[in-house]
Amino acid sequence: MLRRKLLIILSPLVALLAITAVAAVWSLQKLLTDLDHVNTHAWHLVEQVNALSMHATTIELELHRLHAGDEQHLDRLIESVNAAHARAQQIGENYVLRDPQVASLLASVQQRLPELQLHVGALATTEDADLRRLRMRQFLEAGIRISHDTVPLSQFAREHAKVEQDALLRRFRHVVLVLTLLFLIVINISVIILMRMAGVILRPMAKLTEATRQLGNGDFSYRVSLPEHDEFGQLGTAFNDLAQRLSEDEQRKMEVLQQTARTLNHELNNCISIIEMQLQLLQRRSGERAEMENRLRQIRGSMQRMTSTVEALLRVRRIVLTDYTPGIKMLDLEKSVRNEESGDTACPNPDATDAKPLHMQ
Amino acid sequence: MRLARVFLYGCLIVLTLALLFWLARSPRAPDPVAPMIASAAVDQPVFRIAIVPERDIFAQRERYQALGEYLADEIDRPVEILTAVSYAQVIEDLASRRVEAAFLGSLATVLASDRVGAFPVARPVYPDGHDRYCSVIFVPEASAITGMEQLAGHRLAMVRTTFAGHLFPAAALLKLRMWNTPQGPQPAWVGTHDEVISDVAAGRVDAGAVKNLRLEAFQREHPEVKLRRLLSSELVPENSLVLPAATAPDRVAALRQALMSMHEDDAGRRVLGQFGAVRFIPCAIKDYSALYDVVEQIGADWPNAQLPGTPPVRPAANAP
Repeated sequence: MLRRKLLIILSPLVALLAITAVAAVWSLQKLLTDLDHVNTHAWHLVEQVNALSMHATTIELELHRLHAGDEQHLDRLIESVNAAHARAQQIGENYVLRDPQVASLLASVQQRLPELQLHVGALATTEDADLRRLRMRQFLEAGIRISHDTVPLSQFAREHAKVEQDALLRRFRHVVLVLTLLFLIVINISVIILMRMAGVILRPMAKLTEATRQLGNGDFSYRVSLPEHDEFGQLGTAFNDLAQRLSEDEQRKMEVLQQTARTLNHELNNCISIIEMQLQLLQRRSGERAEMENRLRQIRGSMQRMTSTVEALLRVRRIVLTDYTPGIKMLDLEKSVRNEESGDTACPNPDATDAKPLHMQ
Repeated sequence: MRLARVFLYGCLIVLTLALLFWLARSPRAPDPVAPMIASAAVDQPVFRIAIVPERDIFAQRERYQALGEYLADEIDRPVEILTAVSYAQVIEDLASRRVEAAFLGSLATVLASDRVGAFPVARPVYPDGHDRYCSVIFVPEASAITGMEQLAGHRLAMVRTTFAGHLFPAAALLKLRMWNTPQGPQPAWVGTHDEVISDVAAGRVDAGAVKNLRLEAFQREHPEVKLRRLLSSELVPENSLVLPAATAPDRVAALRQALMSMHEDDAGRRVLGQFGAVRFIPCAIKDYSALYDVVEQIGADWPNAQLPGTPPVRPAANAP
């Protein structure tokens, strides 16, 4: 029951934490995906456009090497041209370049590349000087036109990448702010819930602790009120039952003590009456002798003390023990008859009659 | 209560695993550019095959790349296609063992046979049934040139160290005493047969000497361009696979078998289609008889014809 109660209190907290974690992870993952998108598309496009320009330079270098006799095979040249084609196709597949502003530029580049390829192929194999000059001029014109279209492409790609990156940064700031607020709220709610959960445990524990202390101090009438329908409630009920049993035990002890006192009172009164009568006879026969008077007075005083001690036993309200000798307890008559609230006692002043507490084990 | 606890723990585990899988999604790095080597087994030495620019060098390499990938699977070695700048470079590559095979034109095959002992193995058959070609000297339809003699003073586009673009026109002009003389045409050494045709059609040169198969292909693609033939040669074998003399017999047999049986399976037929042929047939040096006739016709004028080295000697009749 207590476990269920704790689960009911904790479950919303756990759910709230899980939802917060999922929301945070989802937001950050989305941001990472968008960041990756910016890198793989936007900035990658910039790299690709720059690489396209580099391919044109590489083609020129390969042609130069062929004509200089440094290279005897055309494969590197062919691969450079093929790479330029592939690069242009990759650039065309990028969603950024669907913008009408730059789509025409890319289309122009893609149209001029086959023309460039034609001139490159001819230039790579032609030996005739006039034809080679013609082909070189055509190649350079095609290359310049391609470069002319590539530069604004690169600028557009860079600007687009920057715009996307700035937008991503703004979103990142918002996400950080929202997550911070969210975590603050979650922390506050967590504290409240945890405090409430602590109260569920600590309140009944405090009551039980106080009740136990009172019971330890001998207040068998103290009862604890734990209305919870859980283990603490059961513990409270058990405590009250224990206190009741202890109280009843104490009451029984009191009754036994009072019955014993009554018996003593009855028997002692009979004996004291007989002793008093004999004292009176002695006092009459002793005349005016002071010494005899004094002894008779002491005997009467002791009998009065015995009478008041027995009467005190009748008024014992609780059993309070004290040490008679180390290891042996006896009834502390003064405290046993003391009213706890007023502090008044019904016991005779032990200093006046030199009385000693009744020995009780 | 116990069931609720088990259910709760199970939900937590599933949630954690789902979260981990979700977080593990990460972008993939772009695949690196694949090397232009058709590899059947990466740890095997590369089998290099040389080709010479005959038509558009980009399309030609793509054609031979597909053939190379097929052969790589057949001979269980990675195959690399090398495009040489000239026929002379290929012969040098064969001699230096830089390449282990080459697809060569007829003149280059004869020269390779004569210089380094190379031998042809197989040549393709095209869809129209042709496996040979001839040299054609041509002009634009509207040209005033009607015969070889009228080429004097004009520019003649040629392809160096080829039968169709060099040997035959040089032999024809030598016969007319018009070669390398002020009375003869001025050679314009162009790289490929396709460029010769393109330059003639564009009017950059006055005449050209090319393979008839390339001329006919151009005319099919550009029926609006009218061209007229001045002279044609005898038929000689189409470009064939040539192997050096030192090639191991099992390697020769493997390559021959791979090429001869290409048309028998779907993969081979697909590659043949990309290559532009329907099958391969055997080829031997004795198939180049017509070319040796032209060589012997040139005779001592061989150096004058700006042909490399010494004229190749016709092999004995019983040579393979």
